[in-house]
Amino acid sequence: MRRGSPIRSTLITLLMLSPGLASFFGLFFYPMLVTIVRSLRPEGQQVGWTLQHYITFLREPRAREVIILTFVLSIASTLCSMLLSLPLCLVLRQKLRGHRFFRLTMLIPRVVPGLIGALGLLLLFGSRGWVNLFLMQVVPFINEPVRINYTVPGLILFYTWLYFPFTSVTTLSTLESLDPAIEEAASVSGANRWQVLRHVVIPLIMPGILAGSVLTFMAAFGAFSIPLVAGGNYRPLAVEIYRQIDFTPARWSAACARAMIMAALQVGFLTVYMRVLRRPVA
Amino acid sequence: MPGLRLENLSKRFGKTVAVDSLDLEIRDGEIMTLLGPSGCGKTTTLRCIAGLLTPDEGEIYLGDERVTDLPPERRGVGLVFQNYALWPHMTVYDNLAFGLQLRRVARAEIQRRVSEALAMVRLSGFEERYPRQLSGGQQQRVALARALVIEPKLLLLDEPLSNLDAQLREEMRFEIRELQKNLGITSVYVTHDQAEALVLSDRIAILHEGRLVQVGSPAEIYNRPGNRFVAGFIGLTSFVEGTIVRQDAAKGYVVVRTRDGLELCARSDVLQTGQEVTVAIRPEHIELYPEEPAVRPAETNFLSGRVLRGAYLGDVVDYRIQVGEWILRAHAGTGAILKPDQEVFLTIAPDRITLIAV
Repeated sequence: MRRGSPIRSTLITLLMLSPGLASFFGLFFYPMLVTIVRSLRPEGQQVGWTLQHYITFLREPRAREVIILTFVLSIASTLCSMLLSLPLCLVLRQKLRGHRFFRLTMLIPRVVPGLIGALGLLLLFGSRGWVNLFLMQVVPFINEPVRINYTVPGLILFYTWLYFPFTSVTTLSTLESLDPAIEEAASVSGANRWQVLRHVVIPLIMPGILAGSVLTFMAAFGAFSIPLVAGGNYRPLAVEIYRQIDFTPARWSAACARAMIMAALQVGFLTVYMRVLRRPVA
Repeated sequence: MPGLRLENLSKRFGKTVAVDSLDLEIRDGEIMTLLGPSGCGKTTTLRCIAGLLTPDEGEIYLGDERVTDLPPERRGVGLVFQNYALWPHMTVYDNLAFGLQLRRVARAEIQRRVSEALAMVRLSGFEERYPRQLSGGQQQRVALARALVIEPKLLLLDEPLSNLDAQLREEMRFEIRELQKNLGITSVYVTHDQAEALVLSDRIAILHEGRLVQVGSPAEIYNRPGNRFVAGFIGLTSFVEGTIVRQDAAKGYVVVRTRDGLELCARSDVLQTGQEVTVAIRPEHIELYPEEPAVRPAETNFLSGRVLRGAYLGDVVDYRIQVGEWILRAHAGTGAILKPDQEVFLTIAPDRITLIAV
């Protein structure tokens, strides 16, 4: 058999890389560049450079609030998703009857468009929603509807609903990749169920869950449809950016500057997070 | 007092019967091997003993205590897994200390017992290593130490050597055997490797399709297999079928005739004329002669056949020889190698032939 010449194989490699490279430059690098340039232009102009949009936003007293709110919502919902998925996945992995059904159900929040999910949640948790009707009927102290919609805890609840599948899928796969003998060895050694969980299972799946939670955090940080529909006065960064475009005339440069700040925060947070994760697990 | 007693133990998975009314007694301080092909129920039995599976029927007694319903953490047994199952996030020290910490043993005592256990498996000084930093053999020795450090009443080993390379495996057999004898700990060893079973066991229990087929010392099992399955499973065996046509009660010999007229003399005190039997012959018990010997040894079976093929094994040549309608396997020295189609003469001592009643 004739081996391909080095030039030929290089050509083939380039050819195979080209779709990836094209989409990287066309769909990521170019829009990124446009956003950066735009954020540095005076509003509505194609020439000149200015840091005005960054300074204005960061000087606004609301800026800190918006950034803190964005972090609170995304971190809290990531934590809630982790706390929720661990017990659920521990049950699901035992492959009890109907576990397939629950595995599918778990993914519903990702299948339903966020906007429709948000509307549904608003109806469910509203003052005349089923949740409040139920609470008022059953819990003795609750005589009037609990305000859930348009509050921070309510938003965290909605976020958790939407982003929970990211965490539960990675948690389940991490759990299922765990060798059953590892746990059996612990229980033979004298550990009861709780001790096996605490000393063996959780330490071993934690790196996997934390790595998976990056995905949840990223998605929650950029959440748009849920806070837009269900956020009320609470506007995280993504909604804040959108609002700049909603003005007439649209403030594109201001929006781009905010987008750059959001990206920088996200990258910064991730860098720190990944560095912490990569520390050798003791 | 028995070390361990299984009474009428049964375990089913759906419609599959993995263990079928197993009765077995393991003496105190004895190492017994559960031997059988994969799917024979040996691992299921071991897991029932450890408490990792609950039997559908039957009882398990550890010493005098009935442990059938106890969860694994309350049985106080040590278990060594095939794939070591060390806890990867703990150091060797922590792996060993874990069981003791759960038992609320004092810190100083833990340190003493861990270093003792590590010395026992010749791994002193490895305390701070993580399992991934150890070789397979070292990991398995840590697993052994971890099982022993809690001073269990019973040591269970589930194919502990099958992930190791051949040389290490052979070494470890003796090491496990020696350790078990020194500690005098009642042990159950599961394997599908007959050589391993023969080397390390006080007694071997042969399992087949969930049932106990034969229990005995390695020599008994090898020399007096109770049925065709055991004979075929342990060592190499050729089988010939026939009927007992004569017997010499005084000398304890019987003569078996096959349907193609071959006659074989074998020792048996119990079988009667007319009994149909399977004749089991081991390859090392057949002597081969390329030419007809001038003097036939008295009271021995003398046969002639044709070499079908030979496989050179290094120390011996493994021949398949057609005798009448039967094919016998014979091992001969590598001095003069026989060629296919060559005529060959065989002698088999009657004492070396095993008869199995059909």
